[in-house]
Amino acid sequence: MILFPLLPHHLALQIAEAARFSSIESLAKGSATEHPACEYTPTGGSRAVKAALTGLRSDLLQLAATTGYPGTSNQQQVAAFDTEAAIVLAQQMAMAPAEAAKGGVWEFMSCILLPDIVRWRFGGMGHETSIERFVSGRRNTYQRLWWRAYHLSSRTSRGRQLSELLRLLGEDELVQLMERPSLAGIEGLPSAIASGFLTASAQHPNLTRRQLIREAQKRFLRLSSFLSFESLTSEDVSGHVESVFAQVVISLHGTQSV
Amino acid sequence: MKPAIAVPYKRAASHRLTVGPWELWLAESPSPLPSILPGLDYGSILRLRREVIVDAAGLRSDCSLADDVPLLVAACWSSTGTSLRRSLGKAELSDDDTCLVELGGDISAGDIAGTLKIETCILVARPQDGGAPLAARRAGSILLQERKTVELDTSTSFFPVEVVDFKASIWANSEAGWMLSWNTYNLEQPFLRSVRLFINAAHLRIVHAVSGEAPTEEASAIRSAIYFDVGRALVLGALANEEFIERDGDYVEGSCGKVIHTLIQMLFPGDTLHGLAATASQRRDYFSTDLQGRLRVFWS
Repeated sequence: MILFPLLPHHLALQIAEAARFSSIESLAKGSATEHPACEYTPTGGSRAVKAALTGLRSDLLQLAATTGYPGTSNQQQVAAFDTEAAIVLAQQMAMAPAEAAKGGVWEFMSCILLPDIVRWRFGGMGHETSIERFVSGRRNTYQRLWWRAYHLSSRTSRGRQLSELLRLLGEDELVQLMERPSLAGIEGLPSAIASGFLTASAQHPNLTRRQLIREAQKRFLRLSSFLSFESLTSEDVSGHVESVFAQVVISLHGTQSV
Repeated sequence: MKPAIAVPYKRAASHRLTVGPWELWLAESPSPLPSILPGLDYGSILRLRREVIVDAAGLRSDCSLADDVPLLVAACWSSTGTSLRRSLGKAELSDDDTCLVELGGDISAGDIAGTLKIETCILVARPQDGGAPLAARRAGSILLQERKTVELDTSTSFFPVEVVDFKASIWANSEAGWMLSWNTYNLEQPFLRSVRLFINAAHLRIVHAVSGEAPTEEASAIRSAIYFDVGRALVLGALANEEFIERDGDYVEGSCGKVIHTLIQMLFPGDTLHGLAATASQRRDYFSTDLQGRLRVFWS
C-alpha cells in the first residue's frame, strides 16, 4: 500500500481560495510534489516517492493534453479525460480505502500536485472554479474519480471490465451510481447495476438512459433497506438487477403510453 | 430519500436469534470484541468469530415460510468512514428445528474507518416462487437482524514506521535491523512527515517484533531496544540543536520540535533545556545512562 502526502485542511482552504481564480499557466508553474506542511499516515505502507508523484502528474497531464488542456475543451473531451484519468488514478494510487477516505490525500492532489488540471477541468472561459473541486469531498476532482474506479471494479471475473464500464457510462449515469454511498459501497453491486443498465439500455433504445438509471436507483435504494445484497452470490445479485430493470422498463413504457 | 421502514413481508421475533459475543482473534487466544478498538494499522486483520443459535422452526412460523425454504445466517459489516459494506461470513441453516451456527471472517483494517457496524442476519437464501401471501420471496430478504457497533479510536498515536528492504537501499547497512530517519535541523516540520523509523524487511526477527499484536518476550525486548534507541536519538539530536534550546518549546502543535519538547518534559520534569543540553554534551555517558533508566529499557 502507498501512503500519499496529506495536506492539512486549513491550508487546503487557503490554497484553494487563491487557486480557483488563478490562471492554468500559473498553477502549472507552482505545482509541486511536496509541501512542507504535509504529513503522512504513520504506518500501513510506504510513502509515495517523488518519482511516483512526478509520474502521476506527467501521465495525467498527458491525458489532459490529448483532450484539450490547457485550452478550452468540450463536454466530450472532459468526459474522455475523466474516464481515462479514473483508470490512471486507480492504477497508480494503490492505497487502502481507509487512506482514500482521508481528505488530506485529495487536497494534496488538487491543491499541490495537479491544481492546473482542476482549473482546466472545471474552469470554463473566464469563470472561477468551485472550491469543492479543490477541497476534499465527493466533488473533489480526483477523489470522485478514484472512488468511482474503486467501486466499479468488478470483484468477479464475469463482470464487465472497469475500463469498459467507465467508457460506456455517461457522467450523469456515473453520478447516479455513486451518489448514494449506501449502494455504491456494497461490493460488486455498482458494477452489476452498471452492467444491467447498459444491457437494458441497449435492449430498449426508445427509453432515455437518464430515466432508466434514475428509476432503477430509486428501486435499489428501497430494496437495500430490507435486502442484504452483500450476503448474496453474484448470480443472485445479477438476478435482482435484471428484475429491477425489467420492472423499470415496464413502468416507463406504461408512463410513455399514457 | 428515507429508507423504507415497513417491509413487504413478515419478519421474525427477535428472540428467535440468540447470539454469543463476538470474539476477536489477534493472537492464539480470543478476546471479546470491545466497543472501542484502539488504532489499527492498515495491514492489520480483524479476525472475528461468534456462535449463534437460531430457533429455525419458530422463525419459519413467524415469517410464514415453508420448511423447504433455504435460510442463511449471515454476518456483514459496514464502515461509516469508508462507506464500504461487505460480507463477513455466512452459513446455510440445516433442517433442524434449532441450529447452532458458527460465524466468522476477516476484516482488513485498511477497509474501515470511523464506526464499524457488524450485523448478523437471518436471510432467505434463494428466490422463492409462491408461498404464503406475506412470506418473503426475494433472495437476501432480511428476516431478523442484530447489530454490534464498534468505534475505531483514532486518538492512539502511532510512531511513523516503514518496513523496507535495506539491501535495496544505499543509505543503510543491509544487515542492520532498523534506522531512524529525521532532520535534526528542521524541527518545524510536521513530526509525521519528518520522522520515519525504517525496519529492515530482511531482518525477520525485527519485523516480527514490531508487527505482532501480542509480543513474545523476545519481541518485547527488541521493541524496548528500538524504543530506547529512537528516544535517545531524538532527545540527543534536539538537545544538540541551539535553536531548539532557545525556542524552549515554541513550536506549532504536531511539529517535530513540539513533540520532542513534550517527550523531554515527560522524561525530565522540572529540568531546563539549557541544563539538559549541557549535561548531554559534557557528561555524555552519565546522560545516556540516565536516559536509559528514564526510558525504562527492558523493564516491560
